[in-house]
Amino acid sequence: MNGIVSGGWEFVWAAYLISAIIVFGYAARTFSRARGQR
Amino acid sequence: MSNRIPLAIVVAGAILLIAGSYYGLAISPPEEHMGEVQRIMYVHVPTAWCAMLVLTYAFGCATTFLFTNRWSWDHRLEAAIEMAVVLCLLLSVQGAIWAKPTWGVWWDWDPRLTTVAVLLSAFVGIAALRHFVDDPMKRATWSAVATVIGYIDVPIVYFSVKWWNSLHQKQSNFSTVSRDFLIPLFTNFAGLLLVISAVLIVRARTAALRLQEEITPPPMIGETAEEFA
Repeated sequence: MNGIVSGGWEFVWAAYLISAIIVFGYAARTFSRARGQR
Repeated sequence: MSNRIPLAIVVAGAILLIAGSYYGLAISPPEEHMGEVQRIMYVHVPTAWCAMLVLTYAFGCATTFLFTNRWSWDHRLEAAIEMAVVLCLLLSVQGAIWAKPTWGVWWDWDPRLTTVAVLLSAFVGIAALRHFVDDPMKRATWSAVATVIGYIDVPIVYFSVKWWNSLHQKQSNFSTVSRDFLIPLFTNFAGLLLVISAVLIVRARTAALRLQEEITPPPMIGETAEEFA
């Protein structure tokens, strides 16, 4: 234990992937709902 | 009304997010103590800034509706409440993913994490309130009042790391942060801001159309019978 975090790329990829899914998933749902309503 | 302009804004935002993420993942150096996991900052901090902006926008829409009773502000409020839930949820998930390799736990009853959880719960409650109240005027007024009350937690979230002993890092001073860290941070912030702005516009239009459907009286039985005659 030296107080320095080593590795951890799997956490980085998980954070980016989940962010993309939530942001663009919500955006796509909002646009499709708007299209369905017109 | 066409959704072409909001869609173009989303595409512009997506391009900025891809560029910012590429810079953050491939060009920026790892941080001295946190190493590679510090790269989560390039999505976590822009999400936090956007969440604070959307919550402030929701507060502005709520107070303006309460003073003016104009429906357009209620439509914007509906969009902002839903977006606040999405961003606070995303913020909590990103925070948990970052916490595990740095603190050794996914969750801690830390002041910053707890106050964000309270904020998320409050806005989930307000979104549920809007879903279950049928009367448009009651729905608009109650949710506007609840938003104003819920917003009290926003400054508490911001100052929580200064007021209490927190595991969470305090706000950094930009003058001490390397340019290689600031470029992906602000590029992703600009991209996310564009995407959420476009979604807020489209979502407010959807809310307006729903209200129009709600207040339009159903066809009279006689009229319907005449149509079939």
